[in-house]
Amino acid sequence: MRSTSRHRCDAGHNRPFRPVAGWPAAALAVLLVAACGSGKPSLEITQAPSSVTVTTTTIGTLGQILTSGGHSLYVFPPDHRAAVLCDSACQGTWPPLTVTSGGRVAAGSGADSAKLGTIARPGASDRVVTYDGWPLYRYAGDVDPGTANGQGLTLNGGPWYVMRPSGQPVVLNEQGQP
Amino acid sequence: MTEGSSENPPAGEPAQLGTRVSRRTLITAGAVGAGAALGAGAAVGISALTSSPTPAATIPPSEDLMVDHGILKRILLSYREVSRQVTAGDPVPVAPTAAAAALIQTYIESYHEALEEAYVFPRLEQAGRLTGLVRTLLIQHDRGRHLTAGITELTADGVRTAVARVALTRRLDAFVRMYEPHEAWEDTVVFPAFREVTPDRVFTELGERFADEQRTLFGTGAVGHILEQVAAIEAALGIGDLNAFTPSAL
Repeated sequence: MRSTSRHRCDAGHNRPFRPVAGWPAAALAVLLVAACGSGKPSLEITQAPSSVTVTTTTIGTLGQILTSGGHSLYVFPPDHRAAVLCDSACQGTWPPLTVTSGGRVAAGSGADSAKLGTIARPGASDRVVTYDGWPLYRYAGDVDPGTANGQGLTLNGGPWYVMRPSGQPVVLNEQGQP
Repeated sequence: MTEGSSENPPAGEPAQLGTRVSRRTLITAGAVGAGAALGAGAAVGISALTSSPTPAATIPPSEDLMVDHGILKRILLSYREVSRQVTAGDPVPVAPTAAAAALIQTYIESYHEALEEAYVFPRLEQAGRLTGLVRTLLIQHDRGRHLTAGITELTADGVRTAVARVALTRRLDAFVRMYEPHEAWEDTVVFPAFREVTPDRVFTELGERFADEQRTLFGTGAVGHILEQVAAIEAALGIGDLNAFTPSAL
């Protein structure tokens, strides 16, 4: 176990099978961003990789969605393509897909490299990978590759959706179909 | 869990966005918003948690999580009572059921389980301890969230049909059946192992972190306010008197 003394506000990002969700955007912004900034030493035990690949996988009835390392990637609408609002414990359930500052972010099969980017993570030196501006997260409940159990869950202040290679979140209808 | 003076808005008052979203506000909006008719102030035995004018010493993180489990256990008792009443053909207590599910979602699933997934499980995995059990617990967290979503959806529709009544009791029963052993295993196996693999200094820091996150998310006096809501749900279901659980001499 490693606990650094650096001042960062995050938890458990980039753990193998972990990822988090949300309420009204404004409430979440306060709720989640405020959680960071305590100035307490970091209690995270993993580090961001220097290289990340975002690709696509066809999963059940959801069709083709973005994945990384076999794990489904989610977006959190309250982020509004502008910020990483899921912070602190939220990142235990929804670990952001992170990469070291200056690290490499590549597009695998089906993903559009032009839509990839990174965004600052509050209180951290690493970066969160974005797609079409949306910060990307995984879900702790996807313990096995090839699942998307977090799709449509409302948690941690808002809904969570997987994303199409086009950059569109997958919102299901009442019949549970995309 | 650090407790202090209350700074809550009146019941039903909306969150003061842009300043601070207190735990009470979230619970009011998320849980009792669905069951405001339940009323408040029916809490029993919570004065010690809400009246202390000075913050208490930081509680160890495992103890903090076990207090949350006590809250969960009381909500499980409410779920069981709802299921019993519905199965017996009584009217569905929609408002208290919805309020209980909202408490589960806002407090247990969005906060308590997030703490476990952020700070407890990763340390066990890194130490190579209880990896199979942690996997099961993560799967159960996910199943629980989906059951809660179903209960919330059914109560939002009023549970008006026989099919809906059966669907509700099935979900409530499944939730209770899963979470009773889930929290028992965490209390007796997972948290002791978590303590063993966590150095003293980090363990202390985690206690402070848990308290900070709770204050940030829910405001001060959080547990006392949660218990007020739980007690209101219990009262609405007719199980608010602990003495009623005492058997007569056999």
